[in-house]
Amino acid sequence: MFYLDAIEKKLRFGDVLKGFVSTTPKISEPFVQSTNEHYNIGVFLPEFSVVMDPCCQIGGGTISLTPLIQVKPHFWDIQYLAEDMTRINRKAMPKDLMHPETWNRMPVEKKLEAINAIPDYGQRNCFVYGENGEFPKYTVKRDVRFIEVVDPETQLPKYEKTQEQKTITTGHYMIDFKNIYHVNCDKIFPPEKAIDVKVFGSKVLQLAIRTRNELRDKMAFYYGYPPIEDRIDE
Amino acid sequence: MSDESRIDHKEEDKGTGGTSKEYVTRIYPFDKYLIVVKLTADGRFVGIEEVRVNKDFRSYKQRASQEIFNYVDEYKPE
Repeated sequence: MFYLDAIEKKLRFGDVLKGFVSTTPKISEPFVQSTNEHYNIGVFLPEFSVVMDPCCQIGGGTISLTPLIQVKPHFWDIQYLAEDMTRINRKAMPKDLMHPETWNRMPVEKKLEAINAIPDYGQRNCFVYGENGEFPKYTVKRDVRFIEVVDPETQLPKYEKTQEQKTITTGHYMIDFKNIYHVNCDKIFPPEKAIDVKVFGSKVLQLAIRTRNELRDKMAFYYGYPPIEDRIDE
Repeated sequence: MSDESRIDHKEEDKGTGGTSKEYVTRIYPFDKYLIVVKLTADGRFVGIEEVRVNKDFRSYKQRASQEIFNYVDEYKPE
């Protein structure tokens, strides 16, 4: 079960909402010399947004959100994900999460490293929301098919590419952790206070506890992953 | 021994007429195990209290070294 059958009368992390605008400021470069520079602010009304505040941090007349967007088309070339796109939300072997063209370009030593790796998160900034009756379906067109074969030279897997028109109809959507903004709205109350009627009316879906834990774990990993330069040798 | 190095602190022999003796326990990671060692207050080895399985079998170094996953997020169409 990806979503709760009956939503709670309060906002929770990962909830799907409608009716909240999205804003993205754009600058050509930082305003170092002067504050009198040109800038743009892109505003649009996404069909659905997702709550990015931890449950206990919701309230105070402000809310962090990210728009629900269509799944990146090239994810459908990855067989492991094409079978179940929500697998991207969990740990897996790197080869299973990698685009076939990326795999083919990797040197042999990196392929061996990938085969011997421990399952972990890939496509780290993405979390997929499963299909349901609320989300409109859309189509994705792919014109290439990748078939896994054994490379006779290295005895390692590789992908052969064939031209093949394919149309996928899906109701899967995703969020991108890089795309978070906040909206001020006086009607956003903390969970212990009764929810505003209009805010409750904007709530479309609520994640099941297990799914919310998956979102929390992947997002924590996204921010908590230590880069190479910060590595501490024990 | 500094306070921050103390993992657990116990007083033993508290019975009437007994001599008060303080012990500390410290946890040392060893391979995939955590060894709980009992020491006197001045740091002398008394014994091994417990051997636990370390549930995260990877060290910090191992966790940080899975750079191969950086390739996963790369996608440049040909």
